[in-house]
Amino acid sequence: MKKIIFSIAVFSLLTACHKQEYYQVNPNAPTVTTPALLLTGICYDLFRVDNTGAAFASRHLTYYERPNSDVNYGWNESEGYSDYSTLRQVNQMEKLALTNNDKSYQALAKLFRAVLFSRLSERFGDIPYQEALKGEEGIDNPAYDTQEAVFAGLLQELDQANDLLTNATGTIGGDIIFAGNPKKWQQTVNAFTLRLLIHLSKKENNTTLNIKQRFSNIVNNAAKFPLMTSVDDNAQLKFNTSAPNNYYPTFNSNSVSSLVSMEKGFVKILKDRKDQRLFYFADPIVGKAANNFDNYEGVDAGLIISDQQNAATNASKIHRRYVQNEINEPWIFIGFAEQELLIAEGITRGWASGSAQNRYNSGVRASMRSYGIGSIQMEQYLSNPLNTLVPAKAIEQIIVQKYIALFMHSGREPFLEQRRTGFPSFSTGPATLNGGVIPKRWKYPQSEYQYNKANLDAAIARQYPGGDNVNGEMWILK
Amino acid sequence: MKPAFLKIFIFTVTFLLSAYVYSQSRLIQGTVTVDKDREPAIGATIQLEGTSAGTVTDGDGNYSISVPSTGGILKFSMIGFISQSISIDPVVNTLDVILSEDAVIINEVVVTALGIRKEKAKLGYATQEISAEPLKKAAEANVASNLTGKIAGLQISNKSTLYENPEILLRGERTLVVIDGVPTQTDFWNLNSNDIDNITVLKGTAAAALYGSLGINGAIMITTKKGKDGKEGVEMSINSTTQFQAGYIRIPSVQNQYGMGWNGQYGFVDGKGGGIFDDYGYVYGPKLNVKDPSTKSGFVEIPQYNSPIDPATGQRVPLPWISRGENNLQNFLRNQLLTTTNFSLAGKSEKGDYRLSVSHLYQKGQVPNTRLNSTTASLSAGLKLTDKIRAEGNMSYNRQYSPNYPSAGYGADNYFYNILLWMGTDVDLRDMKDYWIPGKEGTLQKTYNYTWYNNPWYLANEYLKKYTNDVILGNVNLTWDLTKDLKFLVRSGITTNTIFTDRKTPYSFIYYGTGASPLGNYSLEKENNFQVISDAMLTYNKTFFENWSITASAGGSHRFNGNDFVSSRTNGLNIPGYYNLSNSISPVQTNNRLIEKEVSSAYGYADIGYKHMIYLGVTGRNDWTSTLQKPYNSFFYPSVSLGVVVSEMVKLPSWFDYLKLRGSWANVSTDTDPYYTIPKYDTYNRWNGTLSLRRPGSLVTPDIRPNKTISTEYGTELKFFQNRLGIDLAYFNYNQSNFIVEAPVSEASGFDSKIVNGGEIEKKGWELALYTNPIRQKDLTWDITANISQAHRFRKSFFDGAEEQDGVRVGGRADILRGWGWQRSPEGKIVTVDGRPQYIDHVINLGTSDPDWIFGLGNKLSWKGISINVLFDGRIGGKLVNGVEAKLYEGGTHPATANSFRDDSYAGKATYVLDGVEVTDGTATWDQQGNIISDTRNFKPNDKHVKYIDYLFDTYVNGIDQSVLYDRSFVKLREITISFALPDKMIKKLPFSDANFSIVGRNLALWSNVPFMDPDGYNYYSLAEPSYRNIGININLKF
Repeated sequence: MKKIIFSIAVFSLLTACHKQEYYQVNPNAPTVTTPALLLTGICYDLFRVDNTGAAFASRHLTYYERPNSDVNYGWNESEGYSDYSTLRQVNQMEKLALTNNDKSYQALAKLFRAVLFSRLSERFGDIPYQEALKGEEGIDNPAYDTQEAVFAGLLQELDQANDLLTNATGTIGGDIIFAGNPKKWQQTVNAFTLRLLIHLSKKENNTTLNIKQRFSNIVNNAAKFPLMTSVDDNAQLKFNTSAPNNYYPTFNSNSVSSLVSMEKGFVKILKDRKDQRLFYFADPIVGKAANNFDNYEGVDAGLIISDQQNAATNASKIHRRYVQNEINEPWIFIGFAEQELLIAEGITRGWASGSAQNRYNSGVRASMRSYGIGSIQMEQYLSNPLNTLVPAKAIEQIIVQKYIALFMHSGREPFLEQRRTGFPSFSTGPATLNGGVIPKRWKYPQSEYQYNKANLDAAIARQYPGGDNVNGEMWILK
Repeated sequence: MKPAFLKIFIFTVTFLLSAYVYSQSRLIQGTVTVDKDREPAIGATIQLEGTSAGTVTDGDGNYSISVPSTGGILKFSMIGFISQSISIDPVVNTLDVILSEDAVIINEVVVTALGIRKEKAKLGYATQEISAEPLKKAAEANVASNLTGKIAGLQISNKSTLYENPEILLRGERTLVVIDGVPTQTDFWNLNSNDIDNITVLKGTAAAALYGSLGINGAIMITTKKGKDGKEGVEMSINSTTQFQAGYIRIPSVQNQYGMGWNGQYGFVDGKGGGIFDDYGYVYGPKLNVKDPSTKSGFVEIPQYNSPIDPATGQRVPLPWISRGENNLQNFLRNQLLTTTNFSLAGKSEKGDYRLSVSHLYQKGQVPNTRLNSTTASLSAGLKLTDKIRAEGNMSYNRQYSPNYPSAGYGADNYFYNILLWMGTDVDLRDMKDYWIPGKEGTLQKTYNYTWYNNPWYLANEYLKKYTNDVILGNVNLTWDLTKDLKFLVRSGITTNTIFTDRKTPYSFIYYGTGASPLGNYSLEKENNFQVISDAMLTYNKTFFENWSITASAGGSHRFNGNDFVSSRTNGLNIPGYYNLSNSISPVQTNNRLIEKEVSSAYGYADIGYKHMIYLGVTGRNDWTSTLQKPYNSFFYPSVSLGVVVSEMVKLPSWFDYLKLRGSWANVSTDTDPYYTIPKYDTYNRWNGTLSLRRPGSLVTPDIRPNKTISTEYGTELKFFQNRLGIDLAYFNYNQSNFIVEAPVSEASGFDSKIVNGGEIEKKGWELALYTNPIRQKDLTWDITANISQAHRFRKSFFDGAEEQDGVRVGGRADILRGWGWQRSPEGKIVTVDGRPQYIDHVINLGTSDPDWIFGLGNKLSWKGISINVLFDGRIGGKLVNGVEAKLYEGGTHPATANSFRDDSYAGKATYVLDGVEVTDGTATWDQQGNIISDTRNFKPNDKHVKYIDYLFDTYVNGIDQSVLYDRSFVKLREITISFALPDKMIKKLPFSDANFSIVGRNLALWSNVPFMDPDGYNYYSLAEPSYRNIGININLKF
């Protein structure tokens, strides 16, 4: 009997217990991080953008597997606020950098804030900026700042980034772009500032932003504001084969391989100018020889799907290397070619002194060189009257060269520049939604209507008399 | 009056009265037994009709009652037996009574929470029990499927794809499964109907409240067979079922008039874009079977995937463009086969009892090279350690093994994706049975499009998904009768299983380009789940003052759950066909996970009964969980239930046998997933080997509380006409609140959501179960059982006070099906612009997804030794989006797409006119539900012609769900079983004690408006195996 009682007692104690505290540690996820670990992910988000989708909207390419909002300009549902998710990482990195008093990461945080907030603002207009990213402090419904206030703040942050990097030392851990070199980041900060200033060209007389002065300060004071000096300084993501998501993003993509063609307008621009970059961007029409301008043609993205599909049999698909090579060229976020063309535009506009032609040539050469086009062909190209800068058409020529240089680079930058300048003209047609008109912006995300309505309503009311629609004209475009 | 005087007065009156009564009465004594084996009827009530005098029988069935000398009528009754009323003989003082079993009420001792057996009459909540005996005759591979249509409120969605889990919902939600009193994690594949004695479904929260949060949605209580339930001595039994596929009840079909290609053109060169549309993958190619007298074959000839290459020109030789693959699907599939065999041995003696059982299930899949094996061995034993202590143990080991099983998901690895959606009948699958390109065996598959699609034979034989699952269930318990009234129970149950998954991806596997594995892959996963639950419980049981009974119990419980997971996969294979992690080209990727959870509990209950009339049950349990943070980790669950047997209290008409009313209330909380409330970083993309971290978008707050369900339930049980009609009706109402929700906030705050408690949902519905026996004769009986139920969820509030979210409005149904829909005129015609249909530019409410009714109808006809069972079941209402149909249109294989409009479209002619309207002036706006909120439009009928293919793409390829929206209602003839029992005379000459043979049929017919898919188990883009019918035989022998 005693044995039995004993066994019962033992039996009841069979299951071991842990203390409650034991379960408050998640064995499957880290609870602390470093700025370096965050930086790698931020760079991934910023540099590995959807260049293919962007290329449909900027009429570099067209796609006809199924209806596509970029091909048809059917921007009903918005792009969304996912950039705020990346900003959450930036914010976290900045907090840690302030705690550690690490100037490089602080500067990078300011650069990334400028990149992301300006991207958001240029898509939507007014956005939450001052009160943004404070969910942890209890601000769930941040107020909207005017686009002007956002840009004023960002230009100031970029100044601070430049200052912080001037004194930065050591290498930056987790940096997959420049292997930790703070000087290169400083060049990127200044090149990017030039981009923002050029985007503000319609506000050149705005006294608070002081655009011209800022522009000339950067262009003319290399000691204080170092700029990129060659394509080696490009802020770009180099692909590698360590994992499938490190490959060139269109590698092995069936849709890109079989249902994406060059857009008609883009092919015409290249053929008109006898631009050999066409041979690196596109395949000839099936069955025809490569490297002969007559054997290349594009598909009009304005056509409905079945007509595009039919047209595609006699048109150029995107170059096979984009789907067959694992690596290809790096994706440029902002590079030397763009910087030179930005300066050429600034000089043309009278914002800075110098030779626009020289800067223009330097930009075109930088782009062509990156595709391995030889010097002789390059100079031949630049001597073509169509490609020589003519003062009356300088802005258009500069923008079109940038349009060519940014094929499969820099996300929606070609679209935004076309929106600002009207160059080059984009095709529309029976498949184009929005009444056949190219939209000027994205609608605010549905989630803002649900979770931040009062602030959003106020922002819409002060910006867009016609309400939140894709044709509203934001401050920066007026 | 003064108190002293009052006392004396009362005493005097009482004394005189009792003396009078005493002098006028005599004592009747006797024994009550039950008819079956003349065992004493314990606890039978004896009542003197017309008075309140009564008694109950003791442990030996004996009773004595004093009756007036004037006589009277004694009513003998016991639950499960037919009551008898007998006039008292004026002379004889002994009255022995034999009670007959009530055919229907018998066995109405049901298993309740914690495995406690209670008389059904005493319960204040809804339960329904079924004997497992009939389940094993027409066995399904998964036992849960055998429960379909049998329990009111239990919805089983059955799958036709081999080894795919049926979905099990009780009152619309996932429920707990309990085996022999111990909660168990099971997907039912490891259970065997031969080892199950009975299944009781505790429908609601109150019934399962003693299981705490686990029991929030009721429980399916499975009691396994034990040796003690059988006869003394040894009993052996063999049960075997073999079922063959006998055709299909739902199979998709395709058009056979147009082949692969686009816009009527096709020419195969390399299947990668080198020819004419040979990489497109659409079936919008040239018309098939067109005569051409200029060719050798007499038909139009086109270079095709199987064209030989002319050695002289190096070009592919054109072949006749004819429809050869009309039966591709049938040519690919084979007939499914299912066999189950069980052998069991049971014995019982004075000292103890045992049962041994071995089962094997084999299922051959419809897809070549797919199959499932499941073997189970189980042992249960009971031992009397002393007169007062009994020990019991059960142990079962099950191994499920599939060397290759299919998946029903949409994608290029699905056989039906390739055969049905994206293959023209110009392709004859029989050509591709040798699935390697000659000379490139093992490295390059032979297929019909090298950009998008895999050869189904190659998939079936080389792309292999192996799965093994070893499941061990074990529990031991000791019961100790400390005194006559006090019992002690300890019990511990373990469930552990280990799953190995092994996936082989051969060279040249095609999967949407980016997901492809041109160099093959190999992956291994191992997952172990472990759960141990231990209980100790002290129970006190006593009857007071004859009429009052009380059972009170207190106990403690402890639960531990562990989950371990490891996976490894290669990045390409160096050597084709050598499936080993060491063969990886780039470094092997591995991942692992550990999840642990612990819950400690204390609980108690009390059941108080008054006569056989009123039963009150009270339970309470407190859980301390590891998944929430202090002090929110402790919560209490009370429940109360009341059963009132009205027919024992008032006299009902003679045809009204039984009336019981019941009601219950419970308040149960649930915790959340382990580690959910702990802030963390997620690992994010690696770049060139550098790992990165990312802060997740939901902001965790530590003060997360458990969510809460308050359930109330009312019901009644009615029996009429000597128990020839019975009704059980239940109504329930659940108030679910304090949900742990990821409350969306403005993304500009830096977070997508904050984790908070909030929101409220009301779930209500009712269940009706009914039985009747229209015929009850000696040789012929007809029993009908039917059930119908409904459970709907209504949104009461949102966490943030919103009036509407995602189309769900406060006060409205919560199961809103959202999707894209058309702009329509008030008459419902689709609005067109330039002849093309226009959709509303945001998702709208398409309807509700839950069924309005679930029902089952069983008929059993018995004539002598033959019985016929027929079971129908179905679900009525609810909407379904048939993505498969949309994809058939997209691919061009939908039978409706073979028409002259297609020819016109190929010729560049716009001839199709959509039956819609065109807006002449005005505009309209729609709200989030798709309702028009302003409308100034005027219409005229659409008369604009479009190309047919443009119409198809606008309508079906654009993802407009409303184009393929169907009512999900269906009715199935689920089962017919015809059984023959060998007559006793014959059995005596044979070595059997019992022999039964059945002809069985499962899934015999389907009635539904949903084309191409079986709405029972599928919707959206599920590409399931065709739904098939099974017919077979069952043999059941006992020795």
